[in-house]
Amino acid sequence: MSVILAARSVSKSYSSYSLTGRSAPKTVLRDVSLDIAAGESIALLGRSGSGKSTLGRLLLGFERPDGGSVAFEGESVGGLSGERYRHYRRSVQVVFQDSLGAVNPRHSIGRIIAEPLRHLTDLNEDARSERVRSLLAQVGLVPDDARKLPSQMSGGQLQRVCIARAIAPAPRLLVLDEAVSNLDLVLQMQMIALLRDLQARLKMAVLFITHDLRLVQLFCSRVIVLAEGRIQEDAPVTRGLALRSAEGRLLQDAILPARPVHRAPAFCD
Amino acid sequence: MSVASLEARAARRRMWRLPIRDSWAVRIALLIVALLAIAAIAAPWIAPYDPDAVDLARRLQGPSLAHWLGTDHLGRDELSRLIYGTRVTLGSVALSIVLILALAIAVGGLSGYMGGRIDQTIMRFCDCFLAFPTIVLALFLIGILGTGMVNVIIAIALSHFAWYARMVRGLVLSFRQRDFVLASRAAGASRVRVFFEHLFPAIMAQMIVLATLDIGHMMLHVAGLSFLGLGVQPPTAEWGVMIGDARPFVWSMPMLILWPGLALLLSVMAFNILGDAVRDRLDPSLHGDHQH
Amino acid sequence: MSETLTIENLHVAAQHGHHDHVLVDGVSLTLRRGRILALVGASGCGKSMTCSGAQGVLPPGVRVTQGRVLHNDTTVAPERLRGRVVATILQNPRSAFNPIRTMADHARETLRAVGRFDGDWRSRTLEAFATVGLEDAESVLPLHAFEMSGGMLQRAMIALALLSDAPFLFADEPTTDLDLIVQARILDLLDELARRRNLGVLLITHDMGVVARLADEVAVMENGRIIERATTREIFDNPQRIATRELVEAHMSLYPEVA
Repeated sequence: MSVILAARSVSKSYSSYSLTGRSAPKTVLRDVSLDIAAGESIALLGRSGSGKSTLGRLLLGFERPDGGSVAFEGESVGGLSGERYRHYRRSVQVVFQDSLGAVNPRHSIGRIIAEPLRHLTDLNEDARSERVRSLLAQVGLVPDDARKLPSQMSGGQLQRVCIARAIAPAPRLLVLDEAVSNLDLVLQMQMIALLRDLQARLKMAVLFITHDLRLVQLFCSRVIVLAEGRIQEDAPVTRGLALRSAEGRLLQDAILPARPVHRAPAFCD
Repeated sequence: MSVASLEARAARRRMWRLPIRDSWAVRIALLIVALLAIAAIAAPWIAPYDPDAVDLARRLQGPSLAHWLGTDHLGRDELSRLIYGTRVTLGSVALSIVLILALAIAVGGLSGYMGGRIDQTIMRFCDCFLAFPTIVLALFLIGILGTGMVNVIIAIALSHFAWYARMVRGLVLSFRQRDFVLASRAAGASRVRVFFEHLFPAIMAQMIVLATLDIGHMMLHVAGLSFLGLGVQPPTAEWGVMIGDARPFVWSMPMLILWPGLALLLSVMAFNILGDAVRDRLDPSLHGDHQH
Repeated sequence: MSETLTIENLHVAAQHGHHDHVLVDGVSLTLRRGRILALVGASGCGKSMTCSGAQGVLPPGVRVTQGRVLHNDTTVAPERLRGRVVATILQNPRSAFNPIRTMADHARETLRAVGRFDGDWRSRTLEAFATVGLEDAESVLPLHAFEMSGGMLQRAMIALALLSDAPFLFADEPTTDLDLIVQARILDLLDELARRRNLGVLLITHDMGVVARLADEVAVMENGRIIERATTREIFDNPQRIATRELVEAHMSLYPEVA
């Protein structure tokens, strides 16, 4: 199986700057190594502050690691340029958590979805419009929506637009950075069904960054637990999944009950 | 044409429509600005006399049918000088604003985008400019550069740009974190393209609002510097110069101060009111029409 | 007879040009001290507007067109409810705090607003902070919102709600923005506080898991109306309306091992 993205001993710290020098650095990721192969659906599970979003940003090439390296098809991401860089961008795409913040409020939906086509492909304007129409249909929207502005769409619809934009260049890997967390439960389930369907049809690998173990079980075949910047566990997702690491068990115990629990009656102080 | 696209067109048009339906104050302000624009553009055709035509026989005359606003101490027609003065005042303010915005976007944009030590250094440099009251700084710069309208424009631009640069930097910093900038990079756009396609339009909209609010203020600076004799040189007509020239005649012919003074007052008020209206219309945070 | 808070026939509408867009269409519900009532529904169904409308804190352009609120069968003006009879905790704790003020400032402001500010304020605040599990309450007082994590802020917001000693609590999506572990802890906290202080709670949420964990009764909203009302058990076992069934099924599909 070909490896699309590989992180090797990656570490990252942040510090703030002022004229008097740097503040003490805060380490967000320590010595993290991970492979994503074609067609895999992997969950990156962790609570806020675990470093999962930072790892996502490093894999997407938005920031550089302080230590270690991130390689795309064997080549270091930081060193890519020209056509190799464009190939990387075509192959690895992302959907963010907040759909409203992920689109330019002044652009039409059609223009938003066509952006990766403009930069990463050689399609002319007509071909692009045609592709936008097809993408809108694939995510369950109508061709007319291409002319709308983001303010005219609901959160759920806008997230579909972001998904359409991400799959436009036919990526091999789709990174979902808490992509369904801002939606209500019914919409979350619809979005997951859509993503499962797209993954099967487009044969993409998926990296699903989330804090909700319940969603992982619906969607992914492998789960990586991240805590305090380190990988705690890497397990296959099976029915009756029982995580073994301390953090994994914490995340599993925190799952809300499926059925109503009996509440003790009130007592007054 | 579908309902959706019609709605989108309407939403966009709402943003750009002239605020004619707003309060009467805005309508009057628009009228005044329109008159000023006409005066500036069509001065050679609508001014009754040559503004520099000296006629000592007719000096210091009150309003009459021949000279609607009277004549000044050299017999020149007040009305014509007022109309031609519009060109100088508005023209220099417009050029100042263009220069300020160019400097602010370059300096503030660089600072915000680069971050780190470069950002800190540039901001301290701007702080030096901000520490001085603008008139003091303008006087200092004119002292170095010399008098004349071009130098007034440069002085005003240099004394104002730092504040705008700070604004631009703040906007760039806040936009840099937004996901749509990252999404654009993921879509393959280079840093430069991201700046021009996404950041620049948003920043320009805010900057235009700020600049519009500042026009009145800058008009007063231009007039003030000219009043002190640091701007245009005689015989060019300019409102501040006209007020300065009329000082010796404040008791005998107060009208000579009144006309340019009134012109300044009404123009500044008009631009301030218009600035508020433009801000209300273009400020996206004041628009509450997004769905939940 | 226990204390009750009743929202009666509430209508809330947003003004759009010449006509009104109805957001809440005749909602009535009764809270009892000691019971937790969950108000659920898809986004946009009007559940948050009901909560805001009852307290008179609607956004500009939105107003209550009809309806009233009763505290123990006496009509009360919404402004009198806020803080005194009803305490509120919101979804995004970070936006609920003034970024340039410390926690101590917020505590003082809350106490002053309900007329309970006296020399004793500091010890009462520390006690409230300790109750919500903010360890080392002394060190939290001088902190600003940006120096605290999301979970800590949510606890601080609950502490401020407790300071007012109000018998009822409106919790508007209190854990939606928190990760699963913090969410579980905050829900445990709310459960314990509700029992210990015999609070009547209106819990607004879209997550049936939260309902299963905390609620005694459920009211389901759709398009501004309450379409179904039952105990939590009944709603899960026997959902009647389509919207309710959609919510329960979406929730249950997250638990494939529970047949």
